[in-house]
Amino acid sequence: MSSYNILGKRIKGVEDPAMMRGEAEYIADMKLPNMAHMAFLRSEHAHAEILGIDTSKAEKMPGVIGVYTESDLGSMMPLPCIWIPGTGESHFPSHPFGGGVPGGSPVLAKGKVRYMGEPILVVVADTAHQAWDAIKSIVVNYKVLPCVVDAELALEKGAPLLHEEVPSNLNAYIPYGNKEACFKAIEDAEVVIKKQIIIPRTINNPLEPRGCLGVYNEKSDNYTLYATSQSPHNHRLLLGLMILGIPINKLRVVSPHIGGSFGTKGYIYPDMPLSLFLSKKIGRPIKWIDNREDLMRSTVQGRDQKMSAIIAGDSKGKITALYCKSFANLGAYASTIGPGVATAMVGRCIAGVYDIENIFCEISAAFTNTPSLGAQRGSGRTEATILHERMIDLYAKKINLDPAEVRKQNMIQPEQMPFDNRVGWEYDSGDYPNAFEMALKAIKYDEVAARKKEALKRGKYLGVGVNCFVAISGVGPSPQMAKEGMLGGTWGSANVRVHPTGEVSVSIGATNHGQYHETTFAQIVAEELGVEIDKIEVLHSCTRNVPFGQGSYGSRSFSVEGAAVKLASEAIKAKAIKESAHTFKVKEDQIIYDSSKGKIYPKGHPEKAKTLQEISLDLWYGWDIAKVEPALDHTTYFDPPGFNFPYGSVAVEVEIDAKTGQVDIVKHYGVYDVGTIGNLQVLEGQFHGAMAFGIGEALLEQAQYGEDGLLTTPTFREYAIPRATSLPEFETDTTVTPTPHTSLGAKGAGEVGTVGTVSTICSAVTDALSHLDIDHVDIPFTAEKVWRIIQASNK
Amino acid sequence: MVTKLTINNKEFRLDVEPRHSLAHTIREKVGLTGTKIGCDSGQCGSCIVMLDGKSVKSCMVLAVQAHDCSIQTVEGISENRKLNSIQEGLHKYSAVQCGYCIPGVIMTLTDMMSRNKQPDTDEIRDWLHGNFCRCTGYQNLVEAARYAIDKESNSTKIITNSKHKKMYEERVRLLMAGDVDKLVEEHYNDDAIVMAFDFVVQGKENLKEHFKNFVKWVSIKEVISTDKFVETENAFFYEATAVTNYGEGRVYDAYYLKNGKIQHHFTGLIE
Ligand code: FES
Ligand code: FES
Repeated sequence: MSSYNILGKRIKGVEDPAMMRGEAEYIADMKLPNMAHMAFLRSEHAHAEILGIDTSKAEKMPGVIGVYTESDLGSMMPLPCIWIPGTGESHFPSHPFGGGVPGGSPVLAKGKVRYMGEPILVVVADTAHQAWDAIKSIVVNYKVLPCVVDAELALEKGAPLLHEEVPSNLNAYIPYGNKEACFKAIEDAEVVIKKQIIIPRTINNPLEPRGCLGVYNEKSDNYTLYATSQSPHNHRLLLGLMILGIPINKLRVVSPHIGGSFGTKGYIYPDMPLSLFLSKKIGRPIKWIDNREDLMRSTVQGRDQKMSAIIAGDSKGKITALYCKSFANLGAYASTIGPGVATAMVGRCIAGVYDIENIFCEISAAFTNTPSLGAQRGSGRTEATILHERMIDLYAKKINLDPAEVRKQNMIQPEQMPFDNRVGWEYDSGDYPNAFEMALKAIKYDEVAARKKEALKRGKYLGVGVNCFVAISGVGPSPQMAKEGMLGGTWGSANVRVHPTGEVSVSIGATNHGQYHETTFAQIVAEELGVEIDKIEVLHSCTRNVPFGQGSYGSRSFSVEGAAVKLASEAIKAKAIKESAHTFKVKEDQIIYDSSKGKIYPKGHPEKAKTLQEISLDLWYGWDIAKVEPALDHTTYFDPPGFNFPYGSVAVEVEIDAKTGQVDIVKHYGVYDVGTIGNLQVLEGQFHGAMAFGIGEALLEQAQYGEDGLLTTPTFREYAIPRATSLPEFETDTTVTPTPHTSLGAKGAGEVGTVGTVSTICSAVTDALSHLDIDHVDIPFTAEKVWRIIQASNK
Repeated sequence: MVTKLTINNKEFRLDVEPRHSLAHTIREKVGLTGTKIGCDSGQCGSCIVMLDGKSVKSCMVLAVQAHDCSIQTVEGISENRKLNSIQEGLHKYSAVQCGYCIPGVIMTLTDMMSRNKQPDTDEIRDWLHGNFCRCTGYQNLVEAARYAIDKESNSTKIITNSKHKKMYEERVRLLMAGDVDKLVEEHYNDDAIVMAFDFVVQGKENLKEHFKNFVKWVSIKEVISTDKFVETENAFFYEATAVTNYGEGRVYDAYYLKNGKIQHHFTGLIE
C-alpha cells in the first residue's frame, strides 16, 4: 500500500540502550558541584487564611540555608495563563505583566491558600533530607474557610468565593454551535432523552515525578533551568518574560530524559522560577524533586466535567439534535492552558463522527478549591466521546434499535469530507464507516447473544461495546488557535543539517518524553534523503540547540513537527539536486535523486552516481558550486493550514462477575487511522499505552475530594492505576488516510487509544448490566460500585 | 553508621544514616542512578534490585538492613555493556517508552527467569504485578519477556508480521517446551486433523498421542528463519529453515483454521 522504504517500518529505538542500561540521565539523576536542595511546605487545607507562620526553629536546623515565603520573592510575578477561551465571556485574576495576560497561580501563597497542596514556602538546605526535616518543624496558623470542590456548586449563589476579582467563581462561559436551532429541533423531535453524565477527576501520574535544577552563573550572568518540561522554549519564554523578568537570551531551559508526562509536565509550576531565583540568591545550584503524594496533590489534574445532555431524534434512528450543558472544574487557579482544555477541547468535539444537524454545547468553567485543571492524555476528546457515545446508546435503547445501526445511520460518510462538524471543527479526511465495520467484525458482533448466554452459565454478565471517535490533533494552525484564545503560536519547526562527512543532524521542536522521537523523526529524514538511519542524530529539548519549538502536547509531535522535518528535508533535497545539476552539467529536471539507494545521478547515467555526502562536501567547500548559498543546512518553520483528525473504532467485551462486581476486559480491539505511520512498532506501543490509560480511567481511577476539600486518594494505594495482571492483550489494526494538510500526512497518534477506550468500556459495562434495567453508570466502574448496583437491583 | 554492601560485585563501605533507604543509598552514595524512585513507598516497582538473589523494592529496605548483603542493580546485569536477552527483547519490541520503569522491570524479569524457565503469559504478568508502567500498557513488556525466555531456552523465536503471528509463536513455543496438553487445548479444535510426515491422526486423544511421537521423532531444536509466509482469512502457511534431529533443513507448516482454532495442520520436511 505505502511506497515507503523506511517510514512506517519497525525500526528499533536508538533511545533504548541508554535507558535499559540505567545510563540515561533523568532529572533526579543530575548532580552539580555545590548543589543545594529545596522542599515545599504545602497547605493542609483546601481554603484558609494564613494567620502566621513560625519558621524560627527551621532556620536554625542543620544544613538549612534559608526559608523563603512570598515576601522574599521581590518582583517575581505569578504564573501566567496563556489560554483564554476565545469565544465567550471569561474572568481571571489580573497579572502584573499586563497586556491582557491572565493571572494563574501565585508562586507562593500570599495570605491565603485555595487548595490542599498549594505551596506556602520553601526551605533550601544542603541535602533533601535536611530540607524535609526543617519543613516538618514549621508551624502554620490557619483560619480555615468554607470551601467548594464541585464546579456546579461553586457557581451557586452564596458559594465560597475564591478570587476577589472573579465574581461568582465563573472563569468562563463558552457556547458552541447554534442554540436556537438546537432547542427548536429538540422541541420538534419524536424522541427526546436526557441524561447527566459525570466524568470524574483523574491524575496522569507519570511514573517519574516532576523535578528541576536551577542554576545561576554569576560570571556570565546566565541562568540554566534543567526541568521535566514538555515545552522548554515556551517555558523559557514565560519564565523570562512574564515571571522572572529576565531577558530570555540569558536563560536556557533544558529537558533531560523525561519519565513520562501525558500532559502533566507541559505546565509552568512554582518550583521552576523559584529554583532559578533562589540559585541567584544563595549562589548555588538548587535541585528539587517532587514526591508521589505531592504530585497527586499539586500537579494539574484532568477531566472533571459534569454534563447534562439531551439527544433528540425520530423513531427510526435519525438523530436530529444533541445538546450539552457542562460544568467544568478549573481548580483553584488557571493553569498554563487549563481554561482551553476545559472548554474548547470538549465543546467543539461533541459531534464525534456523526452528521448531526443541530448541536449546541455550553460550558461553564468554575474556580473551586482543588488543584488546577490541565491536560490528561486524551483531554477533552475523551469526555466528548463519552458524551456522544453514551447518548447514542440511550437513544438506541429507547427506540429499540441496535446501537450499531443507529451509529451507522448517522455517521459522516467519506465523500462528505472535509466536513464541518457544526461546533467549530472541520474534519480533514477519513472513512469512519470502514473503521466501524472492522471493529464490529473483530468483536464478532453477530454472535454476542450466544456468548452472553454462555457467560451467564459461568456466573458472568457479558457485555459488548463498539464505539467510534474522532480526536482532533496537530495543534496547530496558529491563526485558528488564536481564535480559540491561545496567546502564542503553535506551529512546527525543524533544522536539517547535512555535515560534509555525510552524517545528518536534525533539530526538532518536539520534546521527547517517551515517544521515540529520536527514532521516528530520523525515519522521516532517512526516507526523504536516503541516508542510513544510524547516520542521523535527532536533537531536541534544549533551547540552545534547537530553533524555537513548541514542544510536545496534544498529539502534535509527529504530525506537526514531523511535517516540518519533512519540509526541511525536501528543501535539502532540492538544494542537493540544484548542486548536482551544476556538478553533472545538466538541467535540474535531468537529475535523479534515488532516495531508496541514496544515489544522485543524471538521467540515464546511474554509473556516475554521487552520494549526498559528496554533494554536501562540495557545498561545504563552496569552491565551485551552483548559484546557491554554501553548506547544506535548512531551517523550516511550518504552520499547518488546519488541524488533523485521527479517528477509529474500538470494540470491547467485558465480563462482570455477578458475585463480586469485578469487571474484566476479555477482549479489547482498536482500529486507528493516524494517517502516515512513522514506525509501526512504536505506534502500536502508543496505542497499547493509551488503551491501558483508558482502562485505568474507566475501571479504577478517580481523584476524590471530601467535603472539607481534602484529597482522599493521595497515594497509589487509594489512586489505583492499571497493573500487568489487570489488563487484556490488546489487538490493534491501522488504516492509513493521510491528512491533506501536510506533505507528511501524519495525524496525531498518542491519544487516540484513550479517547476510544473509555466510552467503549462504558458501553460494554452498561450492556452487561442491561438485564438489570441499568442504562447508565458513571465511571470508574470499580468492583465496589458495580457490586452495589447489582445488589440494589437484585432487591 | 558504616554499612558494607557488595554492589554489582564491588564492595563498598558506606557511612549511611539509619533512615536512609537502600534505593537512596545506591543512588546518592554510590552514584548508581539506574535504580529509579517513583513513589518511595513500595508501590511502583521502579526501584527493584536483586538483594542476595531475590528481587526487592529497594525503597522499602533500609541500607543498614542490607549490611553484608550482595546487591545487583540494572547497571550490573549484563557483561561488557552487551545487551542481555531481556534487554534485547525490550529493544526488539520498542518497549522502552519513557524508560522510567524499565530498570525495575528488568530486575523483576531477571528474578523470574532465574526461578521459572518456562513461565507462560499469565505467569509473566503475575511477576510484573508489582511493576507499574504508565506508558506501554505492559503488552510489549510481556512480549519482551517471552522473547528472552525463548532465547534462553535455546529456541529462536519466529517472527512474521502476520495476523496469526501470535498463535504461531505460541504454538512453536509450547511445542518446544514439550507442553503438548496446553498446545492442543489452546490451539486445536476437538476434531482437528494433523498430518506430519506420513502420519494421519484424528480426534483429540489421538492427536495428543501423535504429538508425543512427533515431538520425539522430529524435535525442532532451533528455527533459524522463516520465509514464504502466506496468509489468508482462514489459513496460513510457511516454510522455515530449522535445526531438527535430522540436522539443518527445510520445514513446511500449513494451518487451516475454523473459529480461530486449528482444524487441519500439515507439516513435514522439504526434501
Ligand atoms: S520507588 Fe520503590 S516501589 Fe516505588
Ligand atoms: S516506559 Fe514509561 S513507565 Fe514504563
